[in-house]
Amino acid sequence: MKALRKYYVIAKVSFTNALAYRASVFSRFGFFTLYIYVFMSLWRAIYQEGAVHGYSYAQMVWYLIMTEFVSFFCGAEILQKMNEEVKSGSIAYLLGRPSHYIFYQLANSLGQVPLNFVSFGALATVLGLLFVGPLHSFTPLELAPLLLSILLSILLNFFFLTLIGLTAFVLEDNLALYLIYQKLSFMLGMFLPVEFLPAWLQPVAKNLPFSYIYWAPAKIFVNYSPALCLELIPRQAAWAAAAAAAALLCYQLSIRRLQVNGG
Amino acid sequence: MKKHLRIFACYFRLNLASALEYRASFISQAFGMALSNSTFLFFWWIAFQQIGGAIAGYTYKDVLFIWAVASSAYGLSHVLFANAANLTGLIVTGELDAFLLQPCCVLVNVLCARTILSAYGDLFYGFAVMLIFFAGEPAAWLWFLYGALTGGVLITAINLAAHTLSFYWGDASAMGRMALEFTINFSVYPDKIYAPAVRALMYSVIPAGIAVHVPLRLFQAFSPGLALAALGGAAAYCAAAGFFFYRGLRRYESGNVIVTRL
Repeated sequence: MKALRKYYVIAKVSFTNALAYRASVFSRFGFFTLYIYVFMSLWRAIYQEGAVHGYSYAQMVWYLIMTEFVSFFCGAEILQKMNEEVKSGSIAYLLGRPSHYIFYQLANSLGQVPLNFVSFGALATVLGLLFVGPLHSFTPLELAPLLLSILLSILLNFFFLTLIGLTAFVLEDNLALYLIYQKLSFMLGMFLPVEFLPAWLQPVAKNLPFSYIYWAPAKIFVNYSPALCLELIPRQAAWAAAAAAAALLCYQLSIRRLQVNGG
Repeated sequence: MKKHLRIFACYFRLNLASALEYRASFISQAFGMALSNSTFLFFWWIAFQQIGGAIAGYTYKDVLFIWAVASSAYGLSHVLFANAANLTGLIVTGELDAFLLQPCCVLVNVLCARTILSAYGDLFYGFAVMLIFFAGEPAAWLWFLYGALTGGVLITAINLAAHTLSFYWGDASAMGRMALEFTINFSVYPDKIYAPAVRALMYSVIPAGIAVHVPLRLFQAFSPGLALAALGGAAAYCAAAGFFFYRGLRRYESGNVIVTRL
């Protein structure tokens, strides 16, 4: 309990920081609006050419709004921060603190979530209503499983980024790894629902963790059913647990390689 | 002019040498970026599979062409003139002083002083797409090269104009990032998906249309009038961006930061 309390304090400090520098959140509103506008325009053009299997135009736009919404939580700041800390040696200051490095970073990241959730949530709702109107299939019943799915997406993405960040201990540069991870998660759920992939690729995508970052919460949002939640949420939880275990193991192995020179 | 070209060549040589110093990093960043770009072709392939035919008047091959031009133009701009996107940092921190003291054209000196390793991946990616999908089409190559060159210069001018606002507003880095993001998004999707007002923006304030979509039109049906108008428009935009920079430079207040340029 005492251990949890210190991570709660770290998250609280991070939240206070986020509130103090809230202007940076609002400056990202422009990017969010731009991406939604571009995809809305593109899919409108696609739907004008013919029907797209399984999703109405409004569902597709809301799907993309949800994936963008999740992606604006799951920023790559943690990766950049870890790279800098490992390369500059400033990680030594964090290792001396009475907290686990990975959980310290997790608490720090989670502290940013409430402000992002409220601000981007409000913007996403306004844009969706403005561009395509309300999502008629949405019911308040799905709010709890949806929030759980979003939280699992954040955790899954965090532990993947941590895994990539830990490669800074051994690699001169890990940008290529990040780009590959980013594009796999973009193509297997963020830009396209898994159902749009070729038939041979769909089972592959569903058995990989990348689809569970964006596709799972967006699919639950636009196509809610209790059966779907029971299918997707346990898989998200399993992948998040596996990614967390892998990150903790890699951290234990990586920290042995750390060399910090005083100065 | 000769002096400027010498500085340009010298910076390119030094930037390349410094990139090659960290060879593994250079290769992994360039390769990663090329691989990252190629995933978007997969996205388009799926989108065209969904409906067959064309999207907003663009076939799959048209999209490949605009991707090749946009990628190489972006790569060229950020290989040769990457410092345009770093101008706000130089202005805000006072590091621009170091460039002002040197006996050569400030704009050339500032723009060429930095390269981005991953941009080599973007540059080569455009050529790879052309080699795979347009190998036997000399007209496509001609308009690809035209687009990559004019686009490279225009993207630099857009970056320059946006970051020059820092002379007037203080930190305009968000505006700079936004302008670049607009440019990229306007370049890699069919222009007809956008509303007329946005299309007007694409051919004026953020001229991504001139950089990428006009070369496609010229490849599809050559028109000397359109080619000349596009070249004239690009030249006028670049001249205006340069003029804007020098006007802004008059407002620059020197800092007292000591900078070492290695």
